Amino acid sequence: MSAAAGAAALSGESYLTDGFSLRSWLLTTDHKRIAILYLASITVFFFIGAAGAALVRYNLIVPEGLIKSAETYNRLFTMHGVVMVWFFLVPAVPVTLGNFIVPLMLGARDLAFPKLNLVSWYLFMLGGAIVLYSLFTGGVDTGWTFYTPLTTQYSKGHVVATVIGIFIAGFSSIATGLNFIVSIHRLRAPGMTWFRMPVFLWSLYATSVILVLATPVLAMTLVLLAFERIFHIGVFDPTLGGDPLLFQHLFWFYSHPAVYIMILPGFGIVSEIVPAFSRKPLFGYTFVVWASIGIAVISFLVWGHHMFVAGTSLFSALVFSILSYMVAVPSAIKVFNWIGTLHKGFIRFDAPMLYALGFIGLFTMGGLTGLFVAALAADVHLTQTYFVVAHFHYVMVGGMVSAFFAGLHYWWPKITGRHYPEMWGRAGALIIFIGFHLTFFPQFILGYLGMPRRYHSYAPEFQVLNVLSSAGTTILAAGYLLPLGYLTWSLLRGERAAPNPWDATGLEWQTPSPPPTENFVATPVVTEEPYAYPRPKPQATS
Amino acid sequence: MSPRRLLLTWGLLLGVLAIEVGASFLPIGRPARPLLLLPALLMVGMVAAIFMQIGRGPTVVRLFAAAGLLWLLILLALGSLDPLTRIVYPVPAMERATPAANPP
Ligand SMILES: [Cu+2]
Repeated sequence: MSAAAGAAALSGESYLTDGFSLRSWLLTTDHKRIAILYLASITVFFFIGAAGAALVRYNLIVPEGLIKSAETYNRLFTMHGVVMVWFFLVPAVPVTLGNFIVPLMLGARDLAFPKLNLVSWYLFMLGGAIVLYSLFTGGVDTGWTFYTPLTTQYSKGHVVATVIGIFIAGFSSIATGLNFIVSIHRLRAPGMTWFRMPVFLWSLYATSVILVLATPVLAMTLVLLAFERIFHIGVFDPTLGGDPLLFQHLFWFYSHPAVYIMILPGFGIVSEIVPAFSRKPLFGYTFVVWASIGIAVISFLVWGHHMFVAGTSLFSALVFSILSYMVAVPSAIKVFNWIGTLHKGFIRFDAPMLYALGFIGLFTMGGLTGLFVAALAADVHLTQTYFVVAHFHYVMVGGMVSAFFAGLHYWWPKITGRHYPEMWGRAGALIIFIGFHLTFFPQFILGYLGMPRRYHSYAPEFQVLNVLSSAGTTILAAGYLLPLGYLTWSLLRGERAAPNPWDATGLEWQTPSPPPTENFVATPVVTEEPYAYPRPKPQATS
Repeated sequence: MSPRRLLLTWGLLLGVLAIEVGASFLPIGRPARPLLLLPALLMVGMVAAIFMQIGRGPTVVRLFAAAGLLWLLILLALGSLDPLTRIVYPVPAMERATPAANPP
């Protein structure tokens, strides 16, 4: 660190004031600026995906469907799924909060490969542009899962273009994962041993391992799909010598671990916030760490639970059912450890904590209903119904999106140097929580009663619950627009933030808010365990 | 490693890939099918030796390469569980559905 840079940091210069030209943003290799680029793009994708969801719920207000064409409805839910999964849920936390916070938490100047980081953003935007182009010029009607033979033989939409877009975005995922793995191996500050790393780093490490090992399988599968569609090479078509279930095996080999790509970073965020707002060290740190690694490994052993009714053998279905129960163990360990951390803590209910608590409740519901659908016999009844839709939205939206907002509010003062308005933040957390339940809880009942998913019309007796669900969507939409409003407002009018407004541990809080381009004036040295919050004395006040 | 060498290797890899794809069109009998894995193995070897420099790299690199193989093993082992134990119904050759261009 040069003296000049140190002086700049002290005089209030930050990465935000280090150049104002478009070029200084679009060609930056600063992980913090790339995180901002990603945050802006991810926000756009989120609202496009949300618009798809809103139209789907609008259609389902009446049994015969308000959108007259079933074809259009199919394209809408496909758009919602494709955009949300690959352009929001999978990348969101790693590329925004991860990009910004990982080097700061490590006490490093930047990620290991800053240029690769920028390349990954351009790949993401290129893939996203192709997907959006194909979705807006007619779209795809196959659902986000691209099942064969629908995609290879029957579908008339832009299957190949969409698949190419996802293929390209996959390379962005791989580049990001690689960057995090190497950074965590090589760039830890002096004194930061592996078991002094905050759990956010551990969970992003586990996420990155999945990104690097699973994404190539998706990429290959999509290429094979395109080959069969264009050149009629027999991979999945049995009349050409292919295996009709091979696509689903390969697809879910990626897509089940992808669920953990989405949720593991959320676990990391919550593991930062719960100790900070309970003023206690994280309960069972080592267990939480090993649970992350365990999840990353076991998540690869369970994919067959998506294919119980697809015609796989009973034996393999039983094996996958049992393995699927196993993945619940490390997830439950985490929930118990967060609750153990809360126990006898001095809990503060600031907005990040409200979102984190919402996460714990919603994820638990999503996870427990996952056990229902992992049970072979129950799944035969519940699969392809709204029960499954509700289950994964509790994990993805209730879990991952809550965690994303928790982290966004927690690190917002660090990222922008401004405070968000606290009361608005709390209101947003509550509105999202209420809107979420109203939207998705009725879907559990609908699914249990037998309403199938992915149909544009439904039997009249399901209308009341569908109207409740659609009404919930409006509350949820308000809940999502609210942070967009007050966070944007806070960029200009928010109160200036101190380096460590939450009085939290972690190296990212030991540098000014917003940080200087070089991150730290002097390389920090780690001398204690993570989450070294003073232990409260339980009997002191009574 | 020089960019020239990297590009050359990449070109070679694409060449082997072309052979592999081309070979899949040849009328090869069932017993000889495993031979089609040879080009793939060659590609794995080239990536490991030239791109990853397994021989010279630190242990972590070798660990990650081994992890990649382990994951491949998981995919193949758990993935073949179903086809090996499934009831296979024969497919009449003429029943291939109409391609996308003119759906039924
Ligand atoms: Cu799954």
